[in-house]
Amino acid sequence: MDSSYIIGEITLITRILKNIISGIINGVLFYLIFIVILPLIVFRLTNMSITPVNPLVAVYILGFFLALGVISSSVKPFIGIVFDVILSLIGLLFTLSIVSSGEYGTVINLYGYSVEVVFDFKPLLLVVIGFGILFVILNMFSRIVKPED
Amino acid sequence: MFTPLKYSLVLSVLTLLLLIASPLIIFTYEFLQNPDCLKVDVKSVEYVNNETIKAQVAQVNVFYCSIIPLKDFKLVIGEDEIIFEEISRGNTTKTITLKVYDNEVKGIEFKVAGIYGFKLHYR
Repeated sequence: MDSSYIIGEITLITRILKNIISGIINGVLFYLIFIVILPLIVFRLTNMSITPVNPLVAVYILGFFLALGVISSSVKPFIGIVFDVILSLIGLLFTLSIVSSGEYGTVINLYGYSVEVVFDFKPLLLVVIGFGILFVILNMFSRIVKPED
Repeated sequence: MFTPLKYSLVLSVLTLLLLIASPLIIFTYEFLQNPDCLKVDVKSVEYVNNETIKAQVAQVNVFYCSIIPLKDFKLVIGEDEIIFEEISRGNTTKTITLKVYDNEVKGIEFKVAGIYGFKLHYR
């Protein structure tokens, strides 16, 4: 077998592996930002109790992020941008659903009375989501300006 | 190329979050320090009962201890809704006319510093 062919194969495999690893890192990063960090910031700032997420659902979501991350880094950069944007927007959607669209309602017992409490923190959520979208756009532009192989 | 812009964005996110979250943090802290920070007292002053009108004149006193003002403060007493534009630290008193003889507060709604909405309704 031709040695240049073997070198070419090795280079191709290395590139694929590199893309897969960068995709996995990308997916984990997006998962951490949208499913862990953003809801945590909102929960901490609003003093809400954290809604426990079913571990199986968390694994599904992580798998989804990993798959999209790997696709985004494996295809050509300009197509990858589309997957990156889809990833970010779905991430924001997950964040919104975790923090129940900025309204948190519960029933508490106050001085022997049952009281229904609704807490609206939409302005805070809008700031977090708005800046999230800004970062998505910025990342998209940085990939267009400096496309990777 | 975009790195300085990203850093400046992160800085502005943190500043804005601090500015927006600080009223809520102060409000929560003061409420935890003093659970009786907000007290509403409704006292009947006069009853009107004639052929055409059946109502009561009442005095509503709202005591509030926090430095963060409460905007769009709404009280639900019986069938009536009483609106105070702003409640600041101290006592705020208002004389109102209620349609019924019921003095019980059934719900309170307000916005902490005009940003975060709270609704409390007795069931």
